[in-house]
Amino acid sequence: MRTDFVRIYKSVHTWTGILTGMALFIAFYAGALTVFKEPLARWVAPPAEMRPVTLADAPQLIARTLAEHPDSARDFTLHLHDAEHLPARLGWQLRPADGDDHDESGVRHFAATLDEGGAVQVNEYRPSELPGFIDTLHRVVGLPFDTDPNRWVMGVVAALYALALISGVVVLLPSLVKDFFALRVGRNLKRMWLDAHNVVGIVSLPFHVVMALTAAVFAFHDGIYALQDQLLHDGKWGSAFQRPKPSAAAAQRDPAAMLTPQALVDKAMVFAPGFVPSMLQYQQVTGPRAVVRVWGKDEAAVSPRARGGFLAIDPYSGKVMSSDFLPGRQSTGNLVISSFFALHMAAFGGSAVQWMYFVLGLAGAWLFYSGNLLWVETRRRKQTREMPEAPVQRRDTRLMAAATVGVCLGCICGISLAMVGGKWLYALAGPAVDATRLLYYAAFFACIGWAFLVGAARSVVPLLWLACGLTLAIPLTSLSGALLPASGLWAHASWASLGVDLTALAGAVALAIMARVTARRIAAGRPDSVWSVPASTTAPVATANQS
Amino acid sequence: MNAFTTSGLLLCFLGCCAIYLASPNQRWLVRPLSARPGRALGGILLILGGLALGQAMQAVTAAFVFATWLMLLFSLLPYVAVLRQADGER
Repeated sequence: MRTDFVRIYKSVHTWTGILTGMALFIAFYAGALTVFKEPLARWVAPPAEMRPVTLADAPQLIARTLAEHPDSARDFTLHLHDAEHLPARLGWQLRPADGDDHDESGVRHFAATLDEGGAVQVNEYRPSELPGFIDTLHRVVGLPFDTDPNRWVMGVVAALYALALISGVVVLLPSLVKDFFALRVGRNLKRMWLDAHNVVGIVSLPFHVVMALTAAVFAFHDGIYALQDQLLHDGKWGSAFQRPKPSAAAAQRDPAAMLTPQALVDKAMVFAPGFVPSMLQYQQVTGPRAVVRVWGKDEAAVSPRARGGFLAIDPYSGKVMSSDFLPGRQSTGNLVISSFFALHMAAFGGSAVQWMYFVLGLAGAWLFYSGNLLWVETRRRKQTREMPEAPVQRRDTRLMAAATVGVCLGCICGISLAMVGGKWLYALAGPAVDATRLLYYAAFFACIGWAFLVGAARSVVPLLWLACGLTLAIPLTSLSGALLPASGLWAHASWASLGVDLTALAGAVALAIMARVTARRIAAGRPDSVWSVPASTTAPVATANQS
Repeated sequence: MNAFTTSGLLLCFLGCCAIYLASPNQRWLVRPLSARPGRALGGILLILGGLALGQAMQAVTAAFVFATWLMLLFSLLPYVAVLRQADGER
């Protein structure tokens, strides 16, 4: 391949990478955590105070809830298994009429149970914003709300990311075979960071291509659908999928005549033997279009959504209405579309694949971090033998190094602080205070500010120790809850919740190792580097370099 | 996780290790395995692993799991070598 072509692609790769690297670090770090969104929700949820109801008593619960709260009939959920983040067996949500589909801030949550006398007891509750907020960070590259404009920002980032992937492969092609698996750690730091970047980038390329393409489609899908509707369906696409309206005379149906939840679950399991139901979503149950979606997962099949798929059943007759979204029973067309969702959201293969995605997500975050370090290292002004002192490094590399340290470690610190703060604030102030966003952005911007104020070299080790400490505080908070329940803190004993604590502990250990290795490098590293802290200077690096 | 899934993932892991160790850029051994036998062994283990996964799940799912597992292993194996090297030097 002609070297001038390679040079052009290298330039494209460099600039698209630099423009999007830090945003993608946040998307991938938060995305890796979002793989375990449900365990995070379970970890942060306070202990349930509502009386549990058995599945056998669920028909009474449904009937009495519908009688006393008719607004729940439109769409309510019956959970088949207990979990810390589910305050009661039955729940429903009311969304504001003018709210964005992805905006959860205005949604009201209700949970219903039966008291000892059999009367229905309904509580409005406020689930922690934490898991949803981490997902939002992942969806919109660190922006606070999942709105249309923010998704478009993500779409542009995803498009640039795709461009960076293509150009990166072209740049690597001439040495692809020779350098495959090469990770040369030594005095040549540029070579080391290049290898560290390429190993992950080239081997997990299919994963990144899928992420880039699906993220772009997720960001622009509303626009794509609208365009498709106008160009192909003359604006009638929506009406084509609407079932005919029931006549005005259509009678209201009596929910007491519905099949029991257990009978509906049995029907779903007979229809699809490998399918494991987790909840029943009842829709329009008092009207002529009543339907129950039996949600669940099948590890052996591809699920159309992160939480699995569903079988649609008529709750009165038990007739299967649709298996279009049932894992393992989809048509080829639906399976192709579902595969894109599943490949983005790890909705196949069960928990083993979730762990694989978690590590690949972290590896992706490392890919962007190492890309920035490579950019900085490539532009290092080297000290020659003729130079008595180390040269002052370029301003752009100093700023890029500070931004990389501040943004990436700020994201880690912010998420850890938001997790810990979620529990402590609930213990101290009750459910009315949820400062997830405030805590995250306070830590995030404080880290960035500190990194720019004192420079990358002086800030990176303290920030790594801060990230380590805040991440270690996650299991310590649970430990405090277990040892001192009077403090108002709590610790759940489920594997899902313990998994969050153990993973955070492992993360804290990893950050401690990184802090020690980085400190060693700064102490013993070359003086002609943005990562060098001159022993004689006490003033902040940024200030000293500007003078 | 059923026995087929476990054995499929394990066979793929061994296959990836064999292919990595047969690479001239491997850092686990003083000298790499002979290229052809190492890659052939790795290939056979990957085929067996893929077949085992195919027994445990639908073909599309097995293909996705197989590809995801390979990407993860081939990304991590060179880093494990660096960690082993760092441990040795300490």
